[in-house]
Amino acid sequence: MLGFAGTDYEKVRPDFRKVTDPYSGNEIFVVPAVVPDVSVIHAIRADSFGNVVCSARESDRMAALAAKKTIVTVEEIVPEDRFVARPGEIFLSALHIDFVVVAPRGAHPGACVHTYGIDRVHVEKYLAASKTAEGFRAYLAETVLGKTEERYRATECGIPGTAPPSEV
Amino acid sequence: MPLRLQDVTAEEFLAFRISAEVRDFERTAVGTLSPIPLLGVLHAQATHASNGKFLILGSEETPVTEGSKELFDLAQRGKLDLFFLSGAQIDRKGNINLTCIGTYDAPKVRLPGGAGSAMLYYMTRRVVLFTLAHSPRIFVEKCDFITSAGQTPQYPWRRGGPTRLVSPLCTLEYDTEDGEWRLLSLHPGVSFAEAQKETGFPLSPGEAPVTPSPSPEDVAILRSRIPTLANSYPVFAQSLEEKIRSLAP
Repeated sequence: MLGFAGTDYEKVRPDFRKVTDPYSGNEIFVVPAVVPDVSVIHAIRADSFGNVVCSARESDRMAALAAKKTIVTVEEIVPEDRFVARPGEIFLSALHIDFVVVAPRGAHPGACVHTYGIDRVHVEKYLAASKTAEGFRAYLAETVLGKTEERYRATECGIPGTAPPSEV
Repeated sequence: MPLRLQDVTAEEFLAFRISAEVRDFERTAVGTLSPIPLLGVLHAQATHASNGKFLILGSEETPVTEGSKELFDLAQRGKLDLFFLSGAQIDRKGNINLTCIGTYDAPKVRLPGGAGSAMLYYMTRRVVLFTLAHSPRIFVEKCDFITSAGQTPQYPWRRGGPTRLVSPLCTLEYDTEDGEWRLLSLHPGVSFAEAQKETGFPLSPGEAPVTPSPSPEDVAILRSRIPTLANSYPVFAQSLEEKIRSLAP
């Protein structure tokens, strides 16, 4: 990694090591790779083989590729002719994925590229509630716990009568 | 805030000042949490930098395929000419703190962290710093934690670093020889004494020209870019439109 010389990372991160680049002879910092035990990302669509199209804007795909086990939730499973990646989206092969779970509105209250935006009202409610442990417990009890996904989508996303999710 | 402006909001004024840092035919990137730099870049793109390439995270016009990794790789290959950073603290030597206020082990405030800023500060040819406030809490003699270093002596090479700092009171220029800021211009209505009082290190020289204000044409261009700004920063764009509406006619 370039750029750590002269910063206080040198003092507080003994795992960032200064080595000599064997090719240029320059000193450079190396950092250990992050290897998550499990990565969970939410993607936009999957095909029937478990390949997915996910957001290209964040590091979702990198997280999926780095993990020992990768779980991808998707908005929907689409027929082959609709399985395309548009700008802002990118393919992720089923090779790298251990489980695909159909979960419409699975990013809620966050956004899903080209599908829905951030639910600002809900996020503000969450931020206010999560300032204290009691507030967060009350938030969970009110919005999440004891609800089916269908019920959550109806009460929190305003989508009545969504079909129950199927599994792949 | 002593900044005195007519017919233009402080946000638009600062964006206009940032636009002057954007050059034609270059690669300019705008990261997260940077609505004013984005508005400035959109103004530049619509005026003097129409041949530039712009990497705007979240934009449909320059879609990326690998998120911020693509930005980081572009900078590390030496292909990024201009980027924008801010900090919870910025010190006399141009160091930035995005890590913690207080000591690292027992911080008073734990900040979100540097993300790629250490590398971007180092590998982007020109980095323009911006702040939405100007006070001795932000402009300090020395950062509590150096997340991104202004200068790195005795290191093989770095490609670039800080060049300007645009705050709500003034514009500073980075002197790479002694590694310190110099006062470049004072915004309209801001005296040297006021700027110095809000800065935790000595400002010099003791006088500076007034920062140019945008013309009515420039203000119109800035406002015409707000819908594009809203794609990346909807909340900021909405509040800016409210401020514009509340300007005295």
